[in-house]
Amino acid sequence: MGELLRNILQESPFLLIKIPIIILLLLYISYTFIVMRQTSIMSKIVEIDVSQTVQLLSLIHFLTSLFLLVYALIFL
Amino acid sequence: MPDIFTLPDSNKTNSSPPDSPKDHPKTPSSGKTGLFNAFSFMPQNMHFDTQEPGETILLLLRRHWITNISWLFTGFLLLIIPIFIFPLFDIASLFPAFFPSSFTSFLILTWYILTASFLLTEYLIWYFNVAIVTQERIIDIDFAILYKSISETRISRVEDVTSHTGGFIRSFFDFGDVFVQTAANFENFEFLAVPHPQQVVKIINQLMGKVEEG
Repeated sequence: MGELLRNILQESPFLLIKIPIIILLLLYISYTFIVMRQTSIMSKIVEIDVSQTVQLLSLIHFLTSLFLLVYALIFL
Repeated sequence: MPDIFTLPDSNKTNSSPPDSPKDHPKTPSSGKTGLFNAFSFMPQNMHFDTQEPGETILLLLRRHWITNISWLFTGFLLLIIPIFIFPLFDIASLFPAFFPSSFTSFLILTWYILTASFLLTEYLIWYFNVAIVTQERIIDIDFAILYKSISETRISRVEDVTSHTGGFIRSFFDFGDVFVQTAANFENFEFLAVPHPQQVVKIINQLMGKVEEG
């Protein structure tokens, strides 16, 4: 197992950087999801005519974090 | 100042609204509920969760926009830093050879997305921290991303309303704190850094007077 890991890291040492990046991005996605959920809940508590714009902004925020994860998985 | 509301008459239906905002030409931001509005008198197209039928919203308050300057400035700095810093260095040369060439673009992308995230979070915290004054109640909503607290009290329970405005910036931009003291067993309310605090006090006092008369 140790030998296999050593071989992988010798072949692709960047994995040592990439795996923590992916973990951090997953945490960031969970954060943006919470922001989106909270925005949706608060928009129901206080409904203003611009609430939909605010909800759209938080949705874009969430989708951007997903895009960043996909970018990291494909290009790094 | 004309009456800002009328007590609901049991003989009338609830369809008759109080005075229109046009009756209060001196009141700033009458009826407007924009993305950056901190003081809205009789906001139109607005409802809240526990609003009772016929209950009219008189005031929607947020912190004065000037209180957002610190995070707006920080956001602005974060946006322009890469423009000045990145041309000075060859960023790619700072990383070991085994780093992929796309790592630099990933870093720049992450920087801007995190900056946008910071700006949006600060904006949402400002936007959802509101105080609502209706004909019958005062509602205070405190919001942070992982925390929210909603308190409310009846106007009839309000005992005293005071406003504090101190310092050059607050006097210049006409904003300050409004403290609403309620009867002993009920929670007190603080509307911090709201625009036109004297006007808020005047409106709440007028509501208290109407409730006492009623």
